[in-house]
Amino acid sequence: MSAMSRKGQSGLTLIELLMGIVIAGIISTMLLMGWFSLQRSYAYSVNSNMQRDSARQALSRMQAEVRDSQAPAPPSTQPPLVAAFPYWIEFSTTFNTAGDVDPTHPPRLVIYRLYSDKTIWRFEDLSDNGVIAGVSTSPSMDPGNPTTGEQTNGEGARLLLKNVTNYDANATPVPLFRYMYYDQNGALKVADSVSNATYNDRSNTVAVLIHVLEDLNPKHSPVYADLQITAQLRNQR
Amino acid sequence: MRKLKRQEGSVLIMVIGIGAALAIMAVGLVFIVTNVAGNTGKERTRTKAFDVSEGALDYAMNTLAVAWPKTVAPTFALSTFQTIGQFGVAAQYAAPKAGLGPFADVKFYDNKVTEGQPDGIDSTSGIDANGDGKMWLVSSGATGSQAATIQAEVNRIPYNTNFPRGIAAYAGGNLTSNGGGNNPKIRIEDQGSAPSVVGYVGGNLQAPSVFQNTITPTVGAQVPSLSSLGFGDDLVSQVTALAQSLNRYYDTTKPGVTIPSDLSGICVIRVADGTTVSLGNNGGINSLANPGILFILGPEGGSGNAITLDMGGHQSFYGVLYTDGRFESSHGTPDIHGMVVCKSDLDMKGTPRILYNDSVIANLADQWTLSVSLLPNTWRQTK
Repeated sequence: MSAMSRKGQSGLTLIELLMGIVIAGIISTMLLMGWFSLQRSYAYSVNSNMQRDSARQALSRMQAEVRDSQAPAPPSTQPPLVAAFPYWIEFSTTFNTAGDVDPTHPPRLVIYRLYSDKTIWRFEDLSDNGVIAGVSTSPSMDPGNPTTGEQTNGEGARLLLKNVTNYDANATPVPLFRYMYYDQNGALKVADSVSNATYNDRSNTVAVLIHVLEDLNPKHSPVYADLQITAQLRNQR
Repeated sequence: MRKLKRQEGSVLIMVIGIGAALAIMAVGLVFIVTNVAGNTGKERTRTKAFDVSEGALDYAMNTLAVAWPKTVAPTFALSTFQTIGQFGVAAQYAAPKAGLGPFADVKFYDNKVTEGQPDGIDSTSGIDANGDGKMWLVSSGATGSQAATIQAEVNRIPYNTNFPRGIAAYAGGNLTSNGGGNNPKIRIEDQGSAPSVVGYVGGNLQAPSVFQNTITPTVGAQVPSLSSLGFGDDLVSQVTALAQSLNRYYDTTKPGVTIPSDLSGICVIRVADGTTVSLGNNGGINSLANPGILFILGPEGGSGNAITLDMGGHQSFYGVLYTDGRFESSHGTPDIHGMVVCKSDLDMKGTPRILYNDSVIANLADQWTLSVSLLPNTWRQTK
């Protein structure tokens, strides 16, 4: 075998091999990091789009239903808003019920409530008996005061929206609902809750401000979609 | 030909694999984004359809305020609504898809009253047949792929005319009456509930016999001001505002505005000082059941003292006639049933007659609608 042919078949030196391994490692790491980053971006884009979409639709539904709130016919003296608190609202409405084109068709009670598990649920008095069974209407109800069984046993229970972060134990809570009303001096006021305890503030409520903080990236550091809408109560104009 | 090594092409397979994965992810993302954008677009269109139907409801309420349907059912003027409501921009409000109905429409129904129940809808009547001043409106709007329907009961708030009762004629200046043989020319046709009927002449009363003897004339410095009689500037302003809201206000001092040929109903006309306005010579303006208000005013902020209101032939007028200037009738035998107020002279030449009619004044109270308002707890979105 000639010296020339031996030279052509000579192997890699250790240095060359190590250099090759290092370069290949760097390139592989870059490729994998790019790939993982791409995966994360993809997952975030998908999640945030869907969360935004869900939040917008939920907000729109709440607005349509709240603005349609209507007081029951006499002899009832109940105003359209039955309860008005920062994290839940109860009102009577005919929105999206069969027979609502007949003006004599009575409205029914509906509750929207935010829970500590970051979900908003809708309840409805399906039996039209004037009570939403299985749902507490205590004024002290808020997400920090957990209830058991409402989401499964509450009358007409429906999950409306997940990953709502208005009530966060580690941050300043943001009311889901706020209320615009005329006080006894005729001044337009905004409050987190209204009642008829001292004056007819709840009866004189003209609009409900709905504010949803939707977590777009639930399993990671919080990124919020801050959505707000106003429902003007058409029957209170 | 060089023989290929076994490993050559493995990179290509990896590249194809990564490319395929990226393509699948891209397609998935596009699908989701398209879906979300579609939902957002649908929500936007739904909101627009709701806006259209609510705008149509407001427009229908205005239609009722202009002419409350006592006898004739109103119709919804779509093209006018689109123009006034600025809904005519096709780029913003697409034509509705087939099967969704017209872009906007409003049905007018009378209410059906049942004791102890909320008012129902009387779908057989498009007028206020029961005369209780309440109607139902069912308003629908559609644009693109979405439609919305709203219904509400509305309430008529009539304009309370508040004209003073018992005044047959008021002349801030002189009252002349050539041809005394035809006196009395100012008479009582229907005293109604007015305890007494009076006539006021701020200047010279040429012939006291112009008044029927049961009408008490007050002459000269004793004549009270129009405002103290309840016919002041505020009343004139109110009537003017009402006429404006009903498109029956004509300021002829502005370019392109002329005196209308139809002087019936409520009509407020501003003319330049010195203008002669003819009320016509034959026919009739208004009636006992449907009297009118006719105000002839001077230019805004100026005097109308030299305006002349001319009436002749066999013309008749039912209602309240007011002018900043003077009234003159030198020809024919015109009749005015109701009351006449002139800030300047009242010239009863010839054989005109002013016939005080309290029923005419009373009937004015129910002629026009001040506004139409939504009745609480009747508004519903049904679609």
